[in-house]
Amino acid sequence: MKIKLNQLLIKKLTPLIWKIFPARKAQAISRFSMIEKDSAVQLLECMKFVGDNKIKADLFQHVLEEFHHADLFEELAKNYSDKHLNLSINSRENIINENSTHEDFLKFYAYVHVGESDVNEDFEVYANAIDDTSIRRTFLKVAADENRHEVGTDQILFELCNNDKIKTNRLILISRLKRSYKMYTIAMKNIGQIVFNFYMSIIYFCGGLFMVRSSRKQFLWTKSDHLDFLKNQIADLKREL
Amino acid sequence: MNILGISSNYHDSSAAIVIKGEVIASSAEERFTLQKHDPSFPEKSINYCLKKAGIKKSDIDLVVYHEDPHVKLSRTLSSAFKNFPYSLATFIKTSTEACTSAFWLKYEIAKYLSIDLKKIMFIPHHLSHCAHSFLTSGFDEAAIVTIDAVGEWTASCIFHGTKTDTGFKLEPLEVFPFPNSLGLVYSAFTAFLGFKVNDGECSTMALSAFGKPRYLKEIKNIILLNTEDVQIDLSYFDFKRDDQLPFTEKFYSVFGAPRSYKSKYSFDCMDDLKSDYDEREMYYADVACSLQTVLEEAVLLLIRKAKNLTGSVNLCYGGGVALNCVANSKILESKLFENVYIPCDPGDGGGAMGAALFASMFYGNKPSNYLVSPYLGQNYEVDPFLELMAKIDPSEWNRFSKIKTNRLNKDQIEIRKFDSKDAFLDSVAQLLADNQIIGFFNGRFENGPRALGNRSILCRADNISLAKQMSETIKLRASFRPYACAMTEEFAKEAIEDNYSGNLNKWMQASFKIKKEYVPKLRAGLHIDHSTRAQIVSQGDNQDFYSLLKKYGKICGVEAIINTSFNEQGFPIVASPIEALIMFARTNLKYLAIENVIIAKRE
Repeated sequence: MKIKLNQLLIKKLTPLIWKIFPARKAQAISRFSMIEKDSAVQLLECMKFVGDNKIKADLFQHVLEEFHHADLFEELAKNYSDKHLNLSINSRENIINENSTHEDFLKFYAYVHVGESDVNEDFEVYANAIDDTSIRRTFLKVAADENRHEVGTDQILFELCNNDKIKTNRLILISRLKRSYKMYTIAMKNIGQIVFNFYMSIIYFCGGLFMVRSSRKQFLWTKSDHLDFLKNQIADLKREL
Repeated sequence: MNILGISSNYHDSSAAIVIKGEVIASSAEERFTLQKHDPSFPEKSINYCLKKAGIKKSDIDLVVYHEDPHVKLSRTLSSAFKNFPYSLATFIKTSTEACTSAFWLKYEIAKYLSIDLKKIMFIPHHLSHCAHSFLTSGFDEAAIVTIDAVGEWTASCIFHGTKTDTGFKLEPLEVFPFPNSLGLVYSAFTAFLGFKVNDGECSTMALSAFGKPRYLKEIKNIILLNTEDVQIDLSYFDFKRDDQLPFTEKFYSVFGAPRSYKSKYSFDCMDDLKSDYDEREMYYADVACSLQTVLEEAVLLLIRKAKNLTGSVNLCYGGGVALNCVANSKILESKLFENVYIPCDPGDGGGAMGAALFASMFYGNKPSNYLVSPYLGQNYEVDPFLELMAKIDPSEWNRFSKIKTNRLNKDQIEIRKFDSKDAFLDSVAQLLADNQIIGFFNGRFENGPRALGNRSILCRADNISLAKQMSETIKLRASFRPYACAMTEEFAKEAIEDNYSGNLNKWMQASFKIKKEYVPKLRAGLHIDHSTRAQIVSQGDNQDFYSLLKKYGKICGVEAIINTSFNEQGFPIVASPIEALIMFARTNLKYLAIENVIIAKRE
């Protein structure tokens, strides 16, 4: 349901927003590049926890494809921006780490599978929603690859679960729920940011009148004021250490 | 006493572990996340450092952070309110950062490491730089200069450092406060010239060699120099509006439109200097040259001031601006100091180590009498990698490459394992002599932004077409950016003009002019002015790399090769064998030399 709502938004809102704010187009495509690169890095991390070299080799192939997709989106984004896109890097969620168990790894891999399945559908919706040949071509190309990944990851997950179909389906279901919850939290975070921005704007305009003077005063500090400040910082540190 | 240093939240996050005053391990987070200049909390680097030191989180006695985020917040908020009511966006951005990181940083660290809040301390940014450069230098006493964009309220600093019977003393002598920042101005012009801020500054420096200083007056109207001070006329910049093109109308009226980042410069550092370059490109090169010249003057002004204030014969120099190897050469040429030292990672990445070393000196440790090695990163076993290689199918690699590569079958990948390091190095030297380009991977990776022979791509320095092939099909490197040469110290004594015997040449910190008779032998590794940012290798620095240079010298008569970082455009230098394999798969790199194994593509 949430996924479908997401796709409806892509279909209806994205062309409109990209038309009104052309800079958003480059930013959004560049974000896709970052997401694909992040997938590659997560899979690389994942390789550390796999004992079977055949599966590891398949993962390596998958990593190369994700980097390739990142390249495609990066090149595409350049067509729509006059300046370097300096997007802030979202801090990476370490889904899997040194202390992870085999079960954690299976959960992670099921999550990868669900992710592939979702983006595959999303990319197709983007391709059909945007009236631009190069964008459409890139999204369709990546969607086709992701479609293969969806099938491939399903197969690997099945093998990792010792050909236990019930366990495989259970892991996929848990991952779908987790992904839906994650999308919900992202949406809530964005709404929260809007509310936060609203309150901060009020604080800014109310408090600014009082703060502006003291702020400007701080910029009038002399070099010796700054030197004294640094000396005091060092003296405090010495006491604490 | 186990002390963990952390640097994060701006760019080049890193971690370092210091035990009993000795640096055991250090790494930038980007090496583990493949995100160049990664600013995120350095979890992976911390984990690596603890593992290398053989300790657990609970064994950490103290955590030090490379700056004081609360003081930094006071500066960003003051900057926002100073421009009231035109700075709402900056204020919201600053407030968001404050609420998500600055306020909670101690708690974040404490939670991640399961450590008491009292065991976490903040070290002022420039003090971290200062401690890093002094406490890794081996000097008993030195003038210390730090110059970067901004740390808390400070842009540049002068300290005096001395070793004492009980430890050391670092005394701040002069502070050059924000916003009078040389680093910020250099970065702003980097954006103007079409390069990426906090990444493309080396391109600005490289471009400057093609220009003439025709715009000194205009630049000096921005960077105001007198005998005592460096000040910036901020009316040319609007840092609150756009960090990629932070200029005002006044700036545009003097310098015109910025160069589009999509336009490539046609300068070629391996050609001879021409007189008929494109007029518009020449303009930007002239601006870069003028900027570089004024920066050198400003750096020398601060260095001279440090000399006058301390009277020392030793200089330690840190902060991001210390990565400018052309300006560093001018410091050497000035002969103001007998000895000049710059750590291998003078930027923010080195702040973690500096903070940790600083704190360790308060617990009965004394500064080292030797240079701290740059090889502090992780090493990897090759056998698990070879087992994986046996299963890898290269038939689709050509689909994933940015550049055209040929389709390979599995039997076209040849793996050769050597019984001894000596035989392995013999074979690598022969391949280099046979005009091959080799990805060379050996031991622990280097700390800092330079590849120093453990994660390097190597090739002959006398073969220009080979170097161009490397630029076009492997590194995707702009033709105006020069490669650098690695050479043995014996060869350097013969080939370098005004041979400098200090430490600045060990880690590619300064550029040196090559004697005329050696230019043809090294031309592919030289800039347009026949200078090179040489890595001069002695046996004690890096035994294997030194042996390789010697072996190559025996075959070719020249103990020098091109040494460039082992990374693809847009990626950090590779850390693990798998990352090296990714680059091998995605580019036209034909040889991978890992520890004692050579992997080759046979076509």
